[in-house]
Amino acid sequence: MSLASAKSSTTTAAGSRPVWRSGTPTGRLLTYGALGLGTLVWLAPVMVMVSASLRPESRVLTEAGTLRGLFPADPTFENYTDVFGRVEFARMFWNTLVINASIVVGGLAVNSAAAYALARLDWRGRGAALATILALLVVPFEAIAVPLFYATTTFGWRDTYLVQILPFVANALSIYIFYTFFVGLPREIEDAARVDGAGPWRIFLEIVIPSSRMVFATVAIITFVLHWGLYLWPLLVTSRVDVRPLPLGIAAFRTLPPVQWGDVMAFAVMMVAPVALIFLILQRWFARSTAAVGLKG
Amino acid sequence: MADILLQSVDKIYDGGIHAVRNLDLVIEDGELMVLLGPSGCGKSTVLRLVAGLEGLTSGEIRVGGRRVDHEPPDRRDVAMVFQSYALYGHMTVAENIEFPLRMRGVPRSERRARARETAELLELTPLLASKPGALSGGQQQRVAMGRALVRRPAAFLLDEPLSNLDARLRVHVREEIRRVQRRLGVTTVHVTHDQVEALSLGDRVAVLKDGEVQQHGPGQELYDRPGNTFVATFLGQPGMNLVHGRFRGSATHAHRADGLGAEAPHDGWAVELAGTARTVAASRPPERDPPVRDGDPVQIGIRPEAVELVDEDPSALTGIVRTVEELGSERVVHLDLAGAPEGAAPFAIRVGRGGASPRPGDRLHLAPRAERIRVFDVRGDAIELA
Repeated sequence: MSLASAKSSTTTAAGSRPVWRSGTPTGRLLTYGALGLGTLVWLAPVMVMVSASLRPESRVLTEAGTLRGLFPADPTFENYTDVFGRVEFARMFWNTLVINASIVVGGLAVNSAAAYALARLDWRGRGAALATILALLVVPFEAIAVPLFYATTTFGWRDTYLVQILPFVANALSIYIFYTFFVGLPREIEDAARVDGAGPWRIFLEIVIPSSRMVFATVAIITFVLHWGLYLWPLLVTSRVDVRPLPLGIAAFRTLPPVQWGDVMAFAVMMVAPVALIFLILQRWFARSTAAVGLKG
Repeated sequence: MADILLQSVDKIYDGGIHAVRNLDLVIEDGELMVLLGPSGCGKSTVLRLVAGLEGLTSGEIRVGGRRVDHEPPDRRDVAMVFQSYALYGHMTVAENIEFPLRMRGVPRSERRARARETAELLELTPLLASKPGALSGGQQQRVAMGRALVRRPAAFLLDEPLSNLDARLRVHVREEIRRVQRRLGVTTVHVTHDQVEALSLGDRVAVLKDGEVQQHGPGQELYDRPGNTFVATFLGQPGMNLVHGRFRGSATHAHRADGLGAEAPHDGWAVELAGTARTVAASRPPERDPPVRDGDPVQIGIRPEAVELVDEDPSALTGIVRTVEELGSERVVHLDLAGAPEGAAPFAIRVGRGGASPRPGDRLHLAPRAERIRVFDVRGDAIELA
């Protein structure tokens, strides 16, 4: 076989085609149809929420479910201004931001360091510690909420930021994700740093962390998303609005008379927006990292 | 600069894997010693033990006379280049080279100056602002060398630094390593499984198998006078041919062999080859009484290039060509020796381009050069006959 024909046969081989271009036209149509339907199912509630938040209160329910309602001709932001007038949204948003940022930053520091110690350092009880952490993955928060409530109340931490941050900093899932990634890092780079004179902390801070930006982004997103909507724990440990986060705010707002669904939708949009924004910013690293550490969905 | 001494070094991993066994080795000041062996023979472990990346099970390691086996890696005054180069991907070439100096608290201006000096030595100056990901394999290899050299260490440890390079670049970088090592005179331990690399680079070569040094010395000496059958067959491409036989005669016991009509030459010795009804013989007397008796089973080792093709001759070895490897400048011919036991490894010979052009199935007559024959006892250890 000549070189030219060999090359030609390679490029036309079915295996080299992108997935979306493979198969018969009917097969492709079915694939696109299924994907489109899936997208619609996921996007529909978001579209309903956003469009309702942009309609005047009088048309929120009357135009619900209509195409006109879905794409309002004269969108208005009055529902958004209403929210700020009726409840202390800004305060609750700030509370949520502070609490979440602290959980994310503290969690990245603590969980990555713990995972590195489990993945790389040699110490007695390492296997048992790892097994315990893996076991904690299946323990739901609700199972420990009551003892945790008693403990934090005993410490006098109710109605503080601290009580909403500290229980969530150390996280078994985050440690597991970091651990999986660190175990897969080439050891030679760390060995080289050791020979070059770096100690464990230097290696962790100057070599491992800069090489692990993807997994840090993944853990940051997961932590942020998981805790942004936290409801049960803040409900147990806070009673004052000046420390309460948005999920408690929207729950109260939904039943605050008079019930105005346009305002509720505007509240919901503003509550969800930061999560979507963070995900959009970090999604590339998130996608790469989930592939690297073998996470699913 | 300094010498490196390994004395009775043992390394047993958890799980009982004995990676290094009772290793004694001295690497002289300024010498380039190559540790050569197949995968899993413990050569990289030896390097990691010297670097301090692994702890000893027992024994002693000294660098420049100072015992270092309980010291952490950074206090051993050795630098290491890894197989994967282990460059810090988020740092520039300059930052990579400066890193060991920064870890030692060297002032910034001095760091810069030394990094530049090292970069010039390795012709890396135009690449100082680049990240490792943008460099070719050869350039990355030089950056790894630079990071090791910039510290001016007492010893330099190279763990298969050429194995990720293509064949052409490997030759070039090999020369670079030799040039830099000679210029700086730094004691170097180089680990490789590539015998060409070992023989061309090393002042001395130590061949390892199963964690034990089989033989060490200048590469040519190991090639010509292998100490055992492992070294004999490991060195050379193809390795030394081994043929079983019986020892006949010595300087003091000239002997008429029974059955085959073979006779040891006067004042010489001979080996009757099993199954072939042939004898290889040397007319030189052994230098001393050999530790082998008349009639003892032995193996003879014959390098593929130490065999001549001759016309049909009753005293010559005969073989049928199995395969022919064309190597450009020469051919390697693999033969089945007449009378060799079933399943015996083929006998390889080298034939120059100007010589015969054998084809599979041809019958060839071979005359080994007696002066290049090595004799091994049944355990595989060499018997010094000359």
